[in-house]
Amino acid sequence: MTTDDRETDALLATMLAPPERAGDRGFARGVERAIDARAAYARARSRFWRSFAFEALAVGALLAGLWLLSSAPLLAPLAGAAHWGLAPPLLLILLLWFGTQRWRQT
Amino acid sequence: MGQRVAGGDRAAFQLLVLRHEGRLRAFLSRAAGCDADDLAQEAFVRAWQRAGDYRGQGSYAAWIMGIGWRLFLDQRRTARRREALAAGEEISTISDPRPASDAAIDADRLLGALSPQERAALTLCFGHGWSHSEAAEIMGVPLGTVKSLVLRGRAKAQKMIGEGADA
Repeated sequence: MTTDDRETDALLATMLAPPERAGDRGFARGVERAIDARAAYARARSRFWRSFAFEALAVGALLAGLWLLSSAPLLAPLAGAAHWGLAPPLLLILLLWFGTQRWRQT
Repeated sequence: MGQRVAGGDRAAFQLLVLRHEGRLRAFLSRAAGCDADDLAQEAFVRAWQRAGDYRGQGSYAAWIMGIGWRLFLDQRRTARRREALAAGEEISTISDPRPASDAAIDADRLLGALSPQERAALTLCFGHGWSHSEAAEIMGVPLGTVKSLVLRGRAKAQKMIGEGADA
């Protein structure tokens, strides 16, 4: 290492040294707020997916029930088989409505 | 302290933030430039979320610096992709570091002529006093790469200083 190298190293060390100061409490508070906000968002997201999953399950169960009823030879005439075709799209619209409501809540 | 943070101790984490934020922000300010404070905040948020990953083998400072550096690289990659898409061409690899103060103008001019990797290597090794192997760990590159970055950066700095003295 030459004298030039040593001088450059010393100059770089002086120029690039981090400032000597006490910890910035404002910045630390900002970090705390960011952590809280991130945690609140994660909670809201998981709440949304949990309730949406339950609602989807409920709609699925209804659809399965309707299908069973319409396919049972004894019950189908009683329930009016001609109307079953409307039920699945209506239930899917209901599921979509549940989803948008949950989304708005979060 | 790291173990207390991994256990969910927010007060201990607050102390770590106060202890390390100055160095992290100074490093990112030199390496990244204008978004240094946002990057540093995001680095601490990630450090809190992944506190369990810190096993206490290296220093906490090196760990948090590594998180900050990787965030900077990710952000830079995303920004370059976006701008390339918008402009239909590649943008310059050099982003001018923000002047930390009037006294730091020369350092910023000098760093502006270096690549982000060279800036980071010089800042870590000369400004912050990390060894080459510690800097390699922080930057996530092989030791040889850091050594050549430091040599190249120093040569550029020497040239600029020489040109400044001649002028």
